[in-house]
Amino acid sequence: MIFGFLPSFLLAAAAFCSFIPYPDGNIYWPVAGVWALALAITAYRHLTTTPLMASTLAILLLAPNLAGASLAPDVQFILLPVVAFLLSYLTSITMDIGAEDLIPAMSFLLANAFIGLSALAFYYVDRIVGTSFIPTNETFMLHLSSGLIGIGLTALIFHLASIHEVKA
Amino acid sequence: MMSDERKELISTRLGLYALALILVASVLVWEPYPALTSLLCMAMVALPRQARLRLCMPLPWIMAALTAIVTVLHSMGILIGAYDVIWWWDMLTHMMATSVIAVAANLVIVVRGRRAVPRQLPVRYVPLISLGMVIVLGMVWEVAEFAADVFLGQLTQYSLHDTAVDLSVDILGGALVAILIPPYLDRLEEDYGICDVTLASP
Repeated sequence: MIFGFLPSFLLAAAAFCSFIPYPDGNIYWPVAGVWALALAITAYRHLTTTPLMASTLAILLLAPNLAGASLAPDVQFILLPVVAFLLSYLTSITMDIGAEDLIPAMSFLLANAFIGLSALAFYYVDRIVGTSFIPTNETFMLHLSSGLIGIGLTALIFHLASIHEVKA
Repeated sequence: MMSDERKELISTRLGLYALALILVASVLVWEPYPALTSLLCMAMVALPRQARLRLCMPLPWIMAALTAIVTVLHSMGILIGAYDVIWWWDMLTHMMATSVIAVAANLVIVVRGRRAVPRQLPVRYVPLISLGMVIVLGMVWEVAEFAADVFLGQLTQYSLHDTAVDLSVDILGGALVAILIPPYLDRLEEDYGICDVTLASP
C-alpha cells in the first residue's frame, strides 16, 4: 500500500525542492514545481498507475539540486521542456480523455501553453509590480522559442519511442 | 434563398478579388512584403472552399467570409501602414484570425474525431484543445516574426509590449471561442461533414 504511493511522495518532495532559489535560476522552474505539487496531491491515485513516469519526473525536478548551484540554471533551462511535457502527459492521463493515442499531441499543446501563459504572466507581473523577470523582447522570444523547440523535440522522442515499443 | 455553399463561393471570390487588387497595388508601388503577404492570403482564402470540395469538410459560410475579411485587413494594413498608424489594427487582425482558426479547429476535430478508432475524444475537451492550438500558433507566429526581424531585417515586432499584447489577444480570441462554441458543437448534426457516397453505375 505504502509503496503504491511512493511516486506521489517522491514527486511532492521533488516539487518542494524545485522552490530552492538559485542565482540566475529559471523563472519557470518553481512554477513547474507548483504544478508537480498540485498533481502529486490531487492525482495521487492515478500516479500509482504510472510510477515510472512520476518517478522520472521527480528525478528531473531534483536534477538541478544534484548538479549544484553553478550548474543549476543551465540544467533547469535544458530540462524545463522535458519537465513541462511530462507534467502535461501525467495531467492528461489523469483527466480520462478517452483517446489515448492523442495524449502525446495534447501534452505537446498543454506544455507549450504552460510556457506561453507563464511567460505572459511574468510579463504582466513585471508591468504591475515593477520586477524584471522578462526585461526585453529578446528574453521573451528566447523563452518562447526554447519552449517550442525543446517540447517539440521531447514530443518527437516520445512519439518515436512509442512507435519502437509497438513494433517490439 | 441563397445556399450556404453559394454564400461561401461569393465570399471566397470577393476575398480573392480584393487580395488581387492589393497584390497589384503592392507591385505598382514596389512593396514586396504586402505583395508576398497577399499571395499567401489568397491561398488561405481558398482553404474553406477547398476543404468543402476536396476534404468533404464543409465549414459555415461565415468562416469563409471572416477568412476573407481578416486576410484583406492584414494585407491592406501592411500596404497602407495601418499597423503603424492605428493602434488597434494589430489587435483586430490577431483576434479575428485566431477566432477563425479556433472555430475551424473545433469543427475539424469534432467531425474527424467522430470516426476515430478505437475511442473518440469527448466533445467537451475539443474547445480546450483548440485553445491550446491557438496558443501554440500564436507563439509560433511571434517567433517567426522575430526570426524575420533578425534574419531578414524586417520590422514586424516593435517592442516587448507589442509582442506580449499580440500573444494576449491571440489567447483571448481562442478563449472566447472555447467559451462560446460548446453549445454549437453539441447541436452539430451527427452526419455533419460526411460526404454522400455516389455509387458508380455498372
